[in-house]
Amino acid sequence: MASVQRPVSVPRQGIPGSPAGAGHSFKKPSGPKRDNRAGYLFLTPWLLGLVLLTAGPMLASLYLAFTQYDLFSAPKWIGLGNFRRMLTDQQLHSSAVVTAIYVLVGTPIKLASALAVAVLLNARMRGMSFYRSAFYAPSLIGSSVSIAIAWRLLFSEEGFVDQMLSAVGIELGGWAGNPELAMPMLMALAAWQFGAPMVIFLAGLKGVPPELLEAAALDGAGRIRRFFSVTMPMISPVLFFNLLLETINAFQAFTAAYIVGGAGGAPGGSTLFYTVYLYARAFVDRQMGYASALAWLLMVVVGIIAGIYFHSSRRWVHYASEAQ
Amino acid sequence: MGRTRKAAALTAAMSLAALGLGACTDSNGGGDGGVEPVTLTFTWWGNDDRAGRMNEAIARYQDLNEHVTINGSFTDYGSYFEVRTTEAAARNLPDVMLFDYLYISDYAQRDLLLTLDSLESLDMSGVDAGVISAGVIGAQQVAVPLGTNVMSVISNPAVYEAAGVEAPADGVSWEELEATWQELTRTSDGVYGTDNTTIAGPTALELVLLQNGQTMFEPDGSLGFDEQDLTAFLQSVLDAEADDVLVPSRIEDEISPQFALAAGVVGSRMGWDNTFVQFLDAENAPELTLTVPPPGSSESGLYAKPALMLSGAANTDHPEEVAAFIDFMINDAEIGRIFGASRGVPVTEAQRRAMSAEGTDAQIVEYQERVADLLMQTPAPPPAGWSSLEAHLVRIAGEVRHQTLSVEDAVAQFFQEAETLLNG
Repeated sequence: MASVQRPVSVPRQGIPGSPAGAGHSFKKPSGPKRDNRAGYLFLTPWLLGLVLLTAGPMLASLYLAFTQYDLFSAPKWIGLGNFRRMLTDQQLHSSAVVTAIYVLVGTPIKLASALAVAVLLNARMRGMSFYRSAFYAPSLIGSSVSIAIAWRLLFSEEGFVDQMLSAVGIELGGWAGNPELAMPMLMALAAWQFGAPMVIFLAGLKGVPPELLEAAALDGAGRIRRFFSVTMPMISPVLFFNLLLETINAFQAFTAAYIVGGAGGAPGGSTLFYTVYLYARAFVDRQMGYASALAWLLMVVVGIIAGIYFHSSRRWVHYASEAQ
Repeated sequence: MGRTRKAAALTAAMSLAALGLGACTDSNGGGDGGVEPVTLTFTWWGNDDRAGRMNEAIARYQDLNEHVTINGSFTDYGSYFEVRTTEAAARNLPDVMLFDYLYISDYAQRDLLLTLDSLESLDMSGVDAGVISAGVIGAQQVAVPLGTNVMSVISNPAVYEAAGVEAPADGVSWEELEATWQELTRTSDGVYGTDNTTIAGPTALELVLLQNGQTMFEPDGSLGFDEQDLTAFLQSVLDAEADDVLVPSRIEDEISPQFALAAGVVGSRMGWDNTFVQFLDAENAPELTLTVPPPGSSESGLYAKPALMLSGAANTDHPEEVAAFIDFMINDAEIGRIFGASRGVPVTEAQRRAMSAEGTDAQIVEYQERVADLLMQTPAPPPAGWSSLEAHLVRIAGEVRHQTLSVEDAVAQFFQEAETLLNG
């Protein structure tokens, strides 16, 4: 971009909040005001994105949540009509159950596998960086449409998973057409994409002081005891971060479910995630007002759950600085 | 200088999106002395086979009209109207669109479609009167049918032969047809009688209603059936499943989006006669036959439906150019040869004559001649909102078949949706 070519003097002051500036009282920058302007200029692309692509549409959807809007004609104000409708919407209730199951079961599975692999990858071994890359790779291609299609084939009748299970005498047939197995299939896909939380866990594990573990070992604690009594409390901030992020992600899961079950949540409504239902209301039924209301309900629910997490975190998340 | 460049940089990102969404007046058209070059956007749904034919037609049009460039694009049917919906909201629809009978009321009633009556470049005089009227909403021509099709039983004789079961023929009764499908399911391993659409799809419901002397919709746009009719229909779906007439929904959902007929999993499927061209995409495409669906107690239930339609967007900058292209698509004889009966039997004599008289095209034409005497009057286009409601019909039928929803709840849900969607 042209604006980048403009010569800008580098600010001489430490950036507030950076290690150098932390703990000191904030001083007014002595540099020319141009520095500020340059800063804002650099911020502009992000700011434009925020206003035009995030904040603007969000405000619009807040307004639309109180209207009836079919996309073709002007929105009509109906007050709380959309929210009253939610109370008796059978499909909304079943989609909320589907999403709740996905969040409650899928997230712990994903975090557990991420942590388990992170512990393995934390060992000292030759070629470890190769393994780290290899385990992270699925997350790079994770949310793409193609992987959901490939996943579906993997779990199809006579597909790879079916053949493996048949070999040990378990005959389940295809998963994508079975209302009881479509959800586990999607959870497995999510769990397989544990790369992002795994890397964060790995960073947390590297921060556990070896002397603490050694001390515990000297006191006679076994491997498992050391993990749960030393490692876990030490990485609890990282666990909290991952739990929060993955819970929010799980609430927003859409692509794979839509690829497997379409807007109707086939088979038999078993993949009608809340987000898929919202999408169907917006773009199949063209009830954009109701869909906006659904989106805000989701936001409020996720907000409340995040609030509960933060509140409870005081009891189980230990920051190293507090312990001293 | 620096200031203007900065401004340019800031607006660049914003204009990028707008450009991509289709301003359509750039000048790739190759100026041929005085005629303003025009670019039209054109969208359709369908498979690679149709895309090949469309591209051939577009190339021919561009050769004949050097000042026009047509930017064609296509998706599958499933997402086609979802994309059109968002474009409609922004009043940014493609100049020319392939349209479906199911949706024209939705779009026409919101003034999203170009009124074609007054445009000089479009000559509809060669189109059969009963057919052209299918594109009229509120006394305005908003769509032009490209071809017509009729409901048929599409069967794969190889599947029946392998099972030693006699394939469906003209003149069978419903009882005989169901017995045939039951026998096919019971005598073969991994092969079933017929598919979901045949028994549980919206076209199946319409056929049942028409055969009983009812209609899907009343003239005022309300539903022509009630809770009792829908309950009986869904119950018959469960019966067909229990009687082994129907492929289990687990298997059909499993192979979706592939069609059970194309996959060799079922012997027959009821569908519009031109749709069987789409099964020819499949590897080892089966030889298929078309036979007449059994009659009902009072009516045949069969009618000539506009198969595919072309519409222009009300937001187009080039209405006459749009009209000229639609004119070309229905009147140019060569187009008849390119498409054959893949878009239904052509609506103009010139195109019908240009069609090859062999293969699947000949099969479709010959089928339509066979049923010509049985045809009822073409029902009015579905009311606005039905396209969405139909998706609910498909969904509840699927959930009933998977037994995740009871017939009673399904019927209640459907009529609750009907309340909002048809009156909204």
